[in-house]
Order: sequence, then structure tokens, then C-alpha cells
Amino acid sequence: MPPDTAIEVSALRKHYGPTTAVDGLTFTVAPGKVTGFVGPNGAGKSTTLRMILGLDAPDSGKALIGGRPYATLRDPLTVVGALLDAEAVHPGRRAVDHLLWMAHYNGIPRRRVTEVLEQVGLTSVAKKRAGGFSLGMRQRLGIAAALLGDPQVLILDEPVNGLDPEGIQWIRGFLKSLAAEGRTVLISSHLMGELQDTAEHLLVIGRGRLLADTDVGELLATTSGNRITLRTARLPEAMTVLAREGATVSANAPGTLTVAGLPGERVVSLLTEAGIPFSEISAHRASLEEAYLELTRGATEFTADTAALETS
Amino acid sequence: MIRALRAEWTKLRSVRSTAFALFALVAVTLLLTVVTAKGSVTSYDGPLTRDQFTFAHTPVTGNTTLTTRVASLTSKSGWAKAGLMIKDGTTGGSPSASLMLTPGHGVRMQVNAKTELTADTPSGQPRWLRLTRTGQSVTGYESADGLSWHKVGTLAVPGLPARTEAGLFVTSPAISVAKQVSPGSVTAHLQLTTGRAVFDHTTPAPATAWTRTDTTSPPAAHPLPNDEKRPAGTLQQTASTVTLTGNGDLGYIGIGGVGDDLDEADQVKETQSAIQLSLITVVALGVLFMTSEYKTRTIRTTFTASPKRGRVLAAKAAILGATVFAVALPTTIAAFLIARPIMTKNGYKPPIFPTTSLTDPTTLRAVVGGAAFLAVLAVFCLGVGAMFRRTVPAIVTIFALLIVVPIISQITSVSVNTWVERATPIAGRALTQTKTLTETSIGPWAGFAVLCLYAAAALGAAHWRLTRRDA
Repeated sequence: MPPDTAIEVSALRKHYGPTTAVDGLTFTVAPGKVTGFVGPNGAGKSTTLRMILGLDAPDSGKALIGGRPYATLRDPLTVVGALLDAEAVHPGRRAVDHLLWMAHYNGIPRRRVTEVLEQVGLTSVAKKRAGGFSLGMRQRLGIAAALLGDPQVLILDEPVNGLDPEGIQWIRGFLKSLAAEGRTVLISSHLMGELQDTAEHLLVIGRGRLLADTDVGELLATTSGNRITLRTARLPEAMTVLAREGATVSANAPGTLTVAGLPGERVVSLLTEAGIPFSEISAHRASLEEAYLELTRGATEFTADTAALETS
Repeated sequence: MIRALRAEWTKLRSVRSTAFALFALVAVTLLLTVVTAKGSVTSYDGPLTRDQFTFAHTPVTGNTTLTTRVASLTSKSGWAKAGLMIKDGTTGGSPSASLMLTPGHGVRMQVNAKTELTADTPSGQPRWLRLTRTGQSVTGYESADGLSWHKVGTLAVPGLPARTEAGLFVTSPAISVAKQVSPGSVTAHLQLTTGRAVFDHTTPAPATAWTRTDTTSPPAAHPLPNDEKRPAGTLQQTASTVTLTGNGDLGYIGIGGVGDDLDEADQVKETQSAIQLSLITVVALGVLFMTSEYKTRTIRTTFTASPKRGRVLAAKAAILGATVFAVALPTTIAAFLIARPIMTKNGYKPPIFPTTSLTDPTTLRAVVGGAAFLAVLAVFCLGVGAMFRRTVPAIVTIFALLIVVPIISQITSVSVNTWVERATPIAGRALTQTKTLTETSIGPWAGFAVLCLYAAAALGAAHWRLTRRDA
């Protein structure tokens, strides 16, 4: 994995008027895996991405790609492919021309235009004007544009937005395969569920600050939402045994226990050792969504101003 | 930069609004050209010949050589004339040959007011003149010192009889005093001038004394307004000098400066007048080439493809300017070629109006200048579009500057209008001028320079904003 394709963001800060959009963000996006960039609307995701791409100037801090600011890259599309806004296409321009002018700017051969259109499944509408495209088709066109320079780094803002279920399946597999080739893939979303099956690593932000920088597995394991329910006739004894081992135990209904803070196997072995009969044991795994909600609980109270900026 | 140019060309050619704007440019220009040319009619029914002067003469028979020195010639008109003449009698319109000095146009020779020769040597006062008659032809010479003579030329004099009146003459045409009374109208009135010439070293001298005659043109159906008001000439003679005063003119429309004051039109500029309205298509194209990127937010894609924003702006300006010029040039040439025959039919023709042709450098400069004006204007609009980032404020600002301000200034005062024509981007249209008229506000290149400054300033401001503000 070539190290010069990592995205490094350090102490990045940006404010619009009195509102701080990005407040001292520091993270690194490693190559070889899909990294999810998640946070509620207005958390500063798009602002961060624009600063990484040199479109917005940070107040302070740095955003580097392979150790260099984006603006200093020669033929940047061959290094970084980005999809910021699928709607940002001139409606009167044909798909093929939209890609062609981008290709010309970076000396990318014309055949790449045909190739990427084929890759995203837009060959049949290549000569059609983008104004007639559905959101899903524009999303595909935007992805084609990101792939144009065969870049090692892909930055996609809400790529799943507007895609039909089939398209969502396609892009998930596609992004994973790109990461498997050793590329750096950063995708943002305001819905954790969209990233659940795609991202291996997560950057969670809220109100411009980094809330978590973690592997998906780790995040799930540490979430309080993991719990086990079981039925037993000997409630008080079971509660004593489990509580002694540090679990949080509660009896919600007659003959039913809810255990949190201990893995399922440990619960089973403890009860078996103590000779307490039980039945109907079931593990309830916290979803990524729950983990995310827990993380962002304090960070979602953004003001109307930040929300407006995020979507502008 | 080549890549940026290719990219921006792809952008420009791939949207339908470009083709539409350029088609509109061609169509509107040509349509307005036809309408304007058809609506502009001129006619002149006055006399074509002028044969008016004060003549100090004596009878001469057969071949002769006249010599004199014009010691001084003063007049308010650069086309005053003083010199030697051999004429069939003294009546206006009869055959004659003359050799003369003018204050502003050198030494000239005329026969029957129909043929003219100009001395190709520098001239000044005093000046020696010599006119020799040999049969039916005359030869003129001129000299600075009476010793070394330069031949002006030889001309045939059809109808000159053996018995002639020969001697000295002076004449001085009325000058047209034009005044711009309002931004849209110029009035001119003719002011009589008197020429005063002092001659010496005149040979042969008459036996007794010179006879003075104030020759008048033959009666015309529509005489010139000042013809009846000509004051009488004077003649004073001493032993060595003859002093003549007189007024009038000698020549034919187009000869001897006659009719110069009638040609009060810039025909070439008229053929290019349509661009002052068809420029709106160029304004739209220039503004939209920039603002549509902001409206569709493709500007971010552009700046991710090319983080060097100054280069993007330069490429856009170059492609836009070149494209507009490439379409506008055939259009302005076509406008000239379409308007010319219509204008000729409407009275803009010789002898009063010269024939214009694209092979004439000034005409060519004006016609190419029309296209150059549109091209640079488009670049200016691109810069304004980049400053505002939004179509409506940019177009409103430019229309205010190019259309509203001139309309308002035209109904205010001459000085405001002149200032507007000098200091707003419309000054660039001066490049289509081929002559300086009373209402002319600024020279062609100076006016074009004003427009170029506007374009440069707009691009500079646009660059400043592009590089300092988030995309």
C-alpha cells in the first residue's frame, strides 16, 4: 500500500461568520479500506471535504493528500477523484462532454471517458444532455467523473444519495473493490446505516469536532446497546452471579433478565457453573445506527445557521 | 495552458446557449444592418462645379508663359487658392487652366475644374509658379526660389481658344462651422472667408494695368446659399506687387477640396452600427460563460480539475474572445458588404461620398475593429460575471453601463455624452470610425484602449475574487 495516498487532516478549523463549521479536526484516512465519514447534517462534513480539495481555504490547520496540499497537485484528477455534488452538472451539456472537459484539464485521454461511462453503466445515455438525468443517473455520472483519472484516492460526498437499491448494492461492492486494490476511499454520509455494510473504518463528527476515529467492529463492541436477555426461574440467584462479574442486570418482566456488559458466552458459562437453569437466551447486538446515535447524542443540537451552510 | 484552453473550449461548445447566442449575434447584426442602411438616405442637388474667384487679367493670344511669385496667401480656409490662370474670357464655366498655391493642400493644377494635378514636392510661402501654354495643353511648374523649378505636370485644355484672358486669381471657399447642439444632432452653417494674396515678380505684366473681374459660377437650379452673398473682390497694384482679395471656390466636387464639407458621414462606421445593439448577445454569452458555472455549481468541479484559478480565468477569457472574434469577423465583413450597395443606392456615392472598399487599410481596420470590439467586450463581461458570480446582477450592471447610461447621457448634454463615449466600455466602438467628425468623442485606438482597460480591470478584479474567496 503506497503511503503517499493517505489523506491527512490536522487541526483543521473553519468558521463562517460567527459559526464554527469545523473546529480543530485531526484525522488520517488510510489507503486500502473504505473509510466512512459520518455525522449529522451540519456537522461539517462537506466543509471538511471542500477544504481537503482546496476549494475552501481553512482558517487554520492543514489538509494534505499524500503529504501535499491539493492545490499543488499536478493533474489532480489523476491523484484524487471527488464527487461533491451530483447535481453540479450543466443541464445543457451532454454526459460525454461533461467528462471530456474534465479530462482535457488533466491531460486524460479521451478513451477514459468511454471507459468510465461504461464502468458506471451510462454508455447508452452518453450523448444525452445531463438535464434529463434522474438523480441516480447524475450520481453515476459524478462517480464516473471521480474515476476519470484512475485516481488512488476517492472522496465521495453522500454517494448513495438518490441511487435505487440496485445502485446502492452496486456502489457498495464497487467501493469495496476499489479499496481492495489499495486505494484510499473516503465516503461521507449523514446516515450510519448507509455505511454499515461498506465502511471498515469510521470517522464520526459532530459540530465540527471528531467524536470517534474507530474500526467498525470496535465501535460495536464498546457500545452500551449490546445486551442479552434470558429466562430463568431462579431470578435472584442469577442476578447475584452475574452482577458479581460486573454485569448490569435488570429484571424487566417476570422470569426475564436483561444482561448488559458481559459477552454472551461468559453469561452462559457463569450460569452453568452456578447450576442455574435458564432458557431462551438471546443476544441483542447493537446496530451501528445505535452506536452512532449514542455518540452523536450531544452533537446534534446544531443551530439553523450551520444547517443552512452545510446544504448551501 | 493548452489543456485549459481545450477544456474551456469543450465547455463553451458543448452547451446550446453558446450556439444560440452566436447565431443571434449574426442574425441580429445582419438584420439591423439592412434596416439601418435602408433607412439612411442622402441626396445633394446643388451645383457640382465651382468657378468663382477674383481675376486680375489681361488679354493674351496664342502660346504664352506666365510667371509669378505668391508672396503671401492668407485665409481662414485651408482650401483658399491663389495663382495663375488662362481662361476663355471671364465668364464662369468657360474653359480654363490654372496653377495655384493653397495654404493647406500644396500646389495644385486644374483644367476646366474637372482635372487636377497635385505637386508632389513640399510647398510653403512664398512660392513661385509658372504656367506655360503650348497649343491645347498647359504645363505647370513650381519653385521655392525662382531658380530651381519642379514640373507639376502637363494637362490638355479642351476648348481653350487662341484668344484668352490670362493673369492672377484668388479665391477662398466658405468654411463649414459645425456645432454639436445636442448629443444626437450637429448643426453646421457656412461662414464666408476672404482670401488675400500678394503677388510679385509677375511676368508678363500688362501694358497698362490689370483688369479685375469677379467671376461667378453659371446659374444653377439649386444655387448654394452663400453664392448670392459673395462680397466683391479687390485689386490693388503697385509697380512691383499685385494684391488681390476674393472669395468663392474653384473646382468640382472631389476636386480642389470642393464638397469636403458635404461629406459629413462616416460611411464605414454606419455599416458597423448594428453592433451597438447586437452586442447584447455577446454580453449574455460572456456573462453566462462564467455565471453558469456558479449557478450549476460546476465551478467546484472546474477548480478541482484545475486548482490554478487564474489559469482557468485566462483560458476562459482567451477561448471566449477568440470564439466571439471568429464569429463576429465574418459578420462585420458581411455587414459591410451588405450595407455598401444599399447605401450607394441611397445616395452615399461619388462624387460627394468616396467609394469605400475593404482593401483600404482604414476601412479594413474599422470592419475588423467591429469584431475586435465585440470580442473584447465579451471578455469584459466574463470578468464582470466572475465578480458577481450571478447572472442577473452582472447583466443588469453591464446593461446599465452599455445601454442605459448612453441613453440617459444622450438626452442630457453634449459634454456628458462626450464623457460617456470616452469613459465607458462603449468607447471601444470608436475602432469602427474612419473619420473624425464634429460629434466624434474619441479616436479609434484611444477608444479601443479604454475598452481593453475595462476588460483588464474586470479580469483583474475577477482574479482577485476567485483566488481569495472560497469556490
